[in-house]
Amino acid sequence: MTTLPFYRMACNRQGGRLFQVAAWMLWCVITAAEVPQADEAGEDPMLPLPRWTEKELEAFRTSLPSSDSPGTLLPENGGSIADINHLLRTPVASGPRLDHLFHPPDGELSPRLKSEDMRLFLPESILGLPTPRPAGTVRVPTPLSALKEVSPEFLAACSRSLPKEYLIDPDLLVPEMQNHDLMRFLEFHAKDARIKLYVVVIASDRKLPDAAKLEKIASGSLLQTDACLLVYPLAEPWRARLFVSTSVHKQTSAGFLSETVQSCVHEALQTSDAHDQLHRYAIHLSTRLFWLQKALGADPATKADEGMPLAEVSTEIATAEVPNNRASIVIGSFATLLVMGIIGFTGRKFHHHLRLKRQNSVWILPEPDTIPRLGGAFTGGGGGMVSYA
Amino acid sequence: MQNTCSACGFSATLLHGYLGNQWVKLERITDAAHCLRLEDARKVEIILDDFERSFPQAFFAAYLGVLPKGLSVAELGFWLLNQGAFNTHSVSRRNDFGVVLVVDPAEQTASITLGYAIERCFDGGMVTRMLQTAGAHLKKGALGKAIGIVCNRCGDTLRKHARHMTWQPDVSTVEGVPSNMGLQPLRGGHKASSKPLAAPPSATKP
Repeated sequence: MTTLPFYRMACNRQGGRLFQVAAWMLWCVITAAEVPQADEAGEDPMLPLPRWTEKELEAFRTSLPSSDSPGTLLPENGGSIADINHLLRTPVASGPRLDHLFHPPDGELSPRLKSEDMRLFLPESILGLPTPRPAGTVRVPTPLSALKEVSPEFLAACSRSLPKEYLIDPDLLVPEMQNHDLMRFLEFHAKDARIKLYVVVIASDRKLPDAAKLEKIASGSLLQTDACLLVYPLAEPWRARLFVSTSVHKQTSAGFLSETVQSCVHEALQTSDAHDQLHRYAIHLSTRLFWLQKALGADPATKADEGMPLAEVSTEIATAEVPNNRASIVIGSFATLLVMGIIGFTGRKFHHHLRLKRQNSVWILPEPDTIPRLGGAFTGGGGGMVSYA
Repeated sequence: MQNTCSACGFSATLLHGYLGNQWVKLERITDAAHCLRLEDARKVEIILDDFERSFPQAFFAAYLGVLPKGLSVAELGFWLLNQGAFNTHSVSRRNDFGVVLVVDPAEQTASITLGYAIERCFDGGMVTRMLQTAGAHLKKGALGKAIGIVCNRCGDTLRKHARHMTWQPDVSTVEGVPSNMGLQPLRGGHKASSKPLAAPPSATKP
């Protein structure tokens, strides 16, 4: 039918009779070519359209979904929906349901939408699903020989971080979601705590150089107030290094600090996920810092320590003290036993020597001249008597 | 020489009328009351051996028995040391170097009698303390331990007054006399023949 406007337009333009006839003939030809699509009776036998056989029609009808199949959105009986609110409040009992059409495995909402796909836009903590871990990969601690020092650029980036930036992650090792969570937590900690907690995240195969100037981190804000700096190698919490302000370090026992480090490591190792480990470590450390703050009292930091470097609470202290104590106890016990054994052996030998000497010794008594008494030839009644009743 | 006690009239002659003046043979441990266990007796024997070995002149004897009325342990000790022939390792020990402990379990009394030669080594207080210590054990029925303690204390006291020497075996007793070797004959025994054990072969005349 698209040709008719063209025909009328042609008539208006030309206006001639001949042209009108020619146009009429052309329109007829074109129309005749289009009509067979609508009129089945007048189709061209040279261009047959596909037709459904009876068998195909029956197969098609049988393949149609039944009343409880997908596609049948309303019940067959067509019950009237009197109250839409009632329909929304009550669960659908007789309506079409999708869940019995397939049997998805656990954790899959539908055969097409899998839990792995949900992770693309929902955090795993919300999904409550285990963290996907590539099969066959077991976390192996980085050997000490394989540790490399962080680059000067890394330290420079740490130094450029803002004073209120408590989570310093120049290499972007912590994913965005965990980064935001941890940052909010550290800000919350800094709001209430006197000892601010700064966390520097480094890669698992990195370490701090010995000559690193930590006081420059966070634009030097570590020296402005009581602070605690945690240099955390991701996925290796046992290598985390903890630094506290010198004023705090002086007032705190080494045992408490080392115990804090041990406790944080223990808390972090409760999970195998590297980011959860960091989160747990930071939370536990924050709690411990609150304890420490309470123990130290509410007095602000002494300004005399400004400019002093941070003091490290090394994990080696914590781990070395216990073996040393144990070793000293063992050595002390061994030495005591050894000394006692030597004394006992010497005493036994001395006693044996005395006994032998006494056995090989005789004592000769003097023979004084005595005058017999009471008529006794050998004794005059010398001695004594006692009643033991 | 004073034969009678000026205070009580006690004398050896008085005892001779009661117990006799004959010699009596006594072991070092005489358990007339049968109150000493065999195990304790063996231990006491060892202690007495050591005492006699340390003091070749002296000996220690103990008498355990229920005494008749009118006889005290001190009087019996006096009589035993004067009239007793104690069976010691060496007969040469004289009774004036002897110490006799007498215990009456019935009367619960004990006495120590010292010979003339060693009585000056002890003073009265020392003897009393030894008897009190022994009495504590005797009260508990530990007679063997009591005897051992008294013997050892006596030895310790005597050492302070004795001269120390190293023990040497007595070789003079066996020189040239085979019978002193400790080999006792049975029923008269084998008499040593004047003939040699193996006669040298000699030519005989037909």
